[in-house]
Amino acid sequence: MLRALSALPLIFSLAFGPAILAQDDWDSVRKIAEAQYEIIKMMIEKGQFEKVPSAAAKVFELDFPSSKEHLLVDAASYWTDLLLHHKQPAMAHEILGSAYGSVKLDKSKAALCLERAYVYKMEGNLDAAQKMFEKSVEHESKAP
Amino acid sequence: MDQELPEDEALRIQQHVHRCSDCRSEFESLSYAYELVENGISWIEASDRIWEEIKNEIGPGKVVDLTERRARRASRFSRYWLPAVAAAAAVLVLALIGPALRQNSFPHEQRFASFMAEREARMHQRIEVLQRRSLDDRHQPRTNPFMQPVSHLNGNPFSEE
Repeated sequence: MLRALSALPLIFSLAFGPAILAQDDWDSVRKIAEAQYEIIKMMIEKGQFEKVPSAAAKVFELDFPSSKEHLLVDAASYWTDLLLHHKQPAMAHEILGSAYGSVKLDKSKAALCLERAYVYKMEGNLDAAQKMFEKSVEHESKAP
Repeated sequence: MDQELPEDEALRIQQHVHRCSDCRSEFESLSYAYELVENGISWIEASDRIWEEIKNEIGPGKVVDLTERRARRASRFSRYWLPAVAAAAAVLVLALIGPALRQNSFPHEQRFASFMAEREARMHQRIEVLQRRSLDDRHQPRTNPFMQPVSHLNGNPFSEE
């Protein structure tokens, strides 16, 4: 009976260990992304646009699980708004391009294409916006 | 000639024509003309001699070569008017079928328009929140420097849910 009780922690750690570890990994990734997000936001607000692509790359290079990819899309979308607000559409395209390269799910790719379509539209390039929108629809149709 | 006269009178005229050379010549000329009309000939090419005589009667310098004039007119049309007419026709065709072509080439017109409107509204909302928040931050005293910022209010998607 005592032996069985002493084995309980071992059984528990074997059963739930990987999940706890994955949660820890995700938490550290999230914290880095959170901080980096604020840094990028400040860079844009201060007009330090040239530093933005490398800072954003640090977020996109983080090992994001597929289930959390939508957060990357949200971040890229928010930076896009800020960059457009500061009349930096070229930079917005660069950020969205890097984000597109870092995500795996078609759903995420579709959302990023929509963002690029929006940037093109804001630039007045309607043809490019429509093409990007069509690309988004293609990704959407591939998504499960 | 048209068999319109009574028989005895026609016979009398026939005999006269046979005897009188002037009337015979006139009759033969008329008969030839009738024959041409009946055979359906609508155009008789005048001989060069006739044209020369006409030219001489009109006088020098007043006769224009119609073939040359027609050629000149055709060349002027093909040089100036034809491109203009073609361009106008092209513009008209494009104006008529352009919208239809555009609609066919981009089938997601409505979705595209509604997404763009919604996206633009979202952008304005975000920028407004951001500007309002930075203003609030400036006036808000920070009591605890180690306090975790409530950054999700500021749009940070990585903040803890």
